[in-house]
Amino acid sequence: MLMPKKTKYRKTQRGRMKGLATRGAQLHFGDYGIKSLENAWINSRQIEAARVAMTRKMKRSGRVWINIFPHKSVTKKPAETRMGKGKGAPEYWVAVVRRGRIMFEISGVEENLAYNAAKLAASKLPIKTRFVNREKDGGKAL
Amino acid sequence: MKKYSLSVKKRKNAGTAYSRRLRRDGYIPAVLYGLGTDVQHLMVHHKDFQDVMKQVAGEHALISIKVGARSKGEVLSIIKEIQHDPINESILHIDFEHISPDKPISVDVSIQYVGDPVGVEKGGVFSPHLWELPVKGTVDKLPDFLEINVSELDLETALHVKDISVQGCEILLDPDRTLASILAPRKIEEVIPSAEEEVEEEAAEEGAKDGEAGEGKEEAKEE
Repeated sequence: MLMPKKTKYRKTQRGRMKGLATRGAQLHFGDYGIKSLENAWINSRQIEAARVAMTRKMKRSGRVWINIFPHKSVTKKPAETRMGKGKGAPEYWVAVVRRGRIMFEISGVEENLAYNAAKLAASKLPIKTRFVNREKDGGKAL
Repeated sequence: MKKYSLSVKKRKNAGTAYSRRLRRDGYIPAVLYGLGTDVQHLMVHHKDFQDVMKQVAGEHALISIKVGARSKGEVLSIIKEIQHDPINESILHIDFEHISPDKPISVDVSIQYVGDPVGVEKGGVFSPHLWELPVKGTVDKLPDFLEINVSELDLETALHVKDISVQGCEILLDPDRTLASILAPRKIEEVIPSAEEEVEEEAAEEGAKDGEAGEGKEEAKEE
């Protein structure tokens, strides 16, 4: 699963997810992509599940790019612990995704197969997404 | 480069709220600048612009702008930038740059890859790296789009900027930059156990069988 090799600080503040994706909102590598329509934290397990679903559907043909990376650590206090005594231990890693962001890109396969693979991958993600195509603007909802 | 004509209107105001109102009414806010002339705030009807863009390969077309119904002259311009909405990809704003037909200009020309690469037939994946090429030249020399034949590309080979040329124009990119490549198919690794491992596995299996048999004997004795 994806996670940073080394971080300056182990724990991060939560932050806010305001606005749209100003960067990474257009296809850069592949012919097709999965675009986020909501703001969310996508954790490393969800990214991996989506990647596996896509590559399995494509039967190892074509190519998949992951454009998001879980840089942010999320902490959690152990169960049945009293409040206080400091912030909990890092539990998992998330990528902060704003709406409009292209999260995955696909190339080297037919549009129909790319759409079906993207649909499977989208079902592993906690947000609404849209399938985008380099040739056709707009795309369609997954 | 082929020239398209587009009629636009001058807009009275600028700013976010006014631009949003324009978009609701079916217009796209635009701006015209360049060649030392004053900046003009314009608006283009969405449908008129879409009709032009349907005929254009890529985004950077040569457009002859007619400002207002009563104006006599037309302004030769190029689409410098189109801003899109990050979610639904609708056009938010257009930048037109006023150009001179005699002076060389730099434009991103769209690339169209044609032909079925040899490497793809062998199981590779065609991977284009660039979809637009920055080119400098006069308007009459600039191509509408670049057609690049990739049928000779084999497995794990790449096409570079130095391999192509545009007549009468200068390519504004590093010659070693990759245009497209063929990636090798992924190999499925089969783990073949070595002779020593096989012997060890057999010994372990035999050991396990003996153990089971021994246990059975002990149980029988207890009975």
